[in-house]
Amino acid sequence: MAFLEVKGLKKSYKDFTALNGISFSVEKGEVAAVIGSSGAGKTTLLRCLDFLENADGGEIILDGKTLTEGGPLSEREAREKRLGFGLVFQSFNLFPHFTVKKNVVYSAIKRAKEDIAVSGKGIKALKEKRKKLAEKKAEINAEADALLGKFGLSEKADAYPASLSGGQQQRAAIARAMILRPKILLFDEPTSALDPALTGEIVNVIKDLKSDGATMLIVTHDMAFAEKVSDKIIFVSDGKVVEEGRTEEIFSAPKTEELKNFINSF
Amino acid sequence: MNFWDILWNMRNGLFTTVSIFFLTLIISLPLGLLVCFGRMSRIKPVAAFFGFFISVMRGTPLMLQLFVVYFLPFYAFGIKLKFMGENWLFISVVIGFSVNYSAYFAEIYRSGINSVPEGQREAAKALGLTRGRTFFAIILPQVLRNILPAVTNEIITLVKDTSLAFAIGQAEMFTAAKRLASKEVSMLPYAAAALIYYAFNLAVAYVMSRIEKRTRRYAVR
Repeated sequence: MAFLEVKGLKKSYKDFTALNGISFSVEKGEVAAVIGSSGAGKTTLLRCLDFLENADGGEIILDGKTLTEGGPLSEREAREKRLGFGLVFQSFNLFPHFTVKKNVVYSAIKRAKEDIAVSGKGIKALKEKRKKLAEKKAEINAEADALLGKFGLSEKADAYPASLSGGQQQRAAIARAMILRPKILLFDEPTSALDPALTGEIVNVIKDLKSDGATMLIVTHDMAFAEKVSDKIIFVSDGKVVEEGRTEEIFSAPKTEELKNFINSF
Repeated sequence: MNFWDILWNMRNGLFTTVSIFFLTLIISLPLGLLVCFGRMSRIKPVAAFFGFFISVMRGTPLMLQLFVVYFLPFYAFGIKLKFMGENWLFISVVIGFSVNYSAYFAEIYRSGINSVPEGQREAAKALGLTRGRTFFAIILPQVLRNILPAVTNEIITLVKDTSLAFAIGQAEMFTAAKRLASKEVSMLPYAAAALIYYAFNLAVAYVMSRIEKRTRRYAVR
């Protein structure tokens, strides 16, 4: 079974069907690009995968676990399940009142606090808890420093997001998503908020992550970008997967008329 | 009586004015947040109730509201005001001001909450933060930064509004000035009162501009 398996995912709004039974799969360590014109349902797909919205039907299976079991999720259940995914937003959405470092560590530290259970009562247990938390915090901080170093942001650790360039903000957002060790990284239009000159930068970042073994799903309408970074293309139109295949094959020999037209329109 | 004597004679009134001011701020700022939650509630009747509350508080004179609070124990519960204790006058003034200002602050909070992009809430959600933490750690600090200028406006108005307590007989600085003016047959006490209100507001403006400067470093460009 594939690492990420999406089967017949459906999502409708009042008078609009965004996802009309989307199915595809992504292998571990693979970079998959979801392409298609705007309004094809690409962003809705990401939002449903990350449980920012509940899909109306279909299955999401990640690393052998069916996440969609039992119908619509409560907020609490969704909070657990979405942690398998690390979403990098189109406009990054860094927290402007936190430094870059705090943006990265915040969620992990809060999570550690929730995870460390107090066994027993009294001052001793409290001390034990505090000690554990301090250890965990040191770990998280070290991991954040490593991530920031990897993304060339060590000197910006104490800066606020407003003072960062677009590319730096994006890398900070990637680091923030990675601190929770998601099984798969999701990117929403990673090139759209960047200067065209900076797209080379994000290509390198994604290639780096791939060589570290990260699995990524990238939603984009930038065909040149998709061709450069992806192993696999999933072409979506009208809320359905029209064609799916290896990147080089898709670009050299598209099978469907729709995909041919789409590629030629660039 | 020279100018300094006049100022010295108004010290008790000034103390009352400052007390009304700070107590009103301490109570109405958090109370306004609660009213705002009510106004933004997803439960329709709750939202409607707080919407009505805000419109009444903003749509009727504060002076009249002070009268209502002051006489409420008698007209609503038949308690003679002399049984309410000697501090009732001051307490009712603080209640009246706090409730009135909470309505204004609620609307300011609401505009501030709406000004934070939806993406911030979603980013917090995607990182697995709880709803409470998302509001207090992510949304509220940005709200406070966005609403600072509007809050400054409201606080400055409050400094001047404290003189309305005069209307229900609370002896505050304006009362003291009026009393002195009659006694001395002079306009000088009024000038002194004006000077104090103005100085007070200069201090408020200074403090608020310092806070604004501190938050500017993380302003969204």
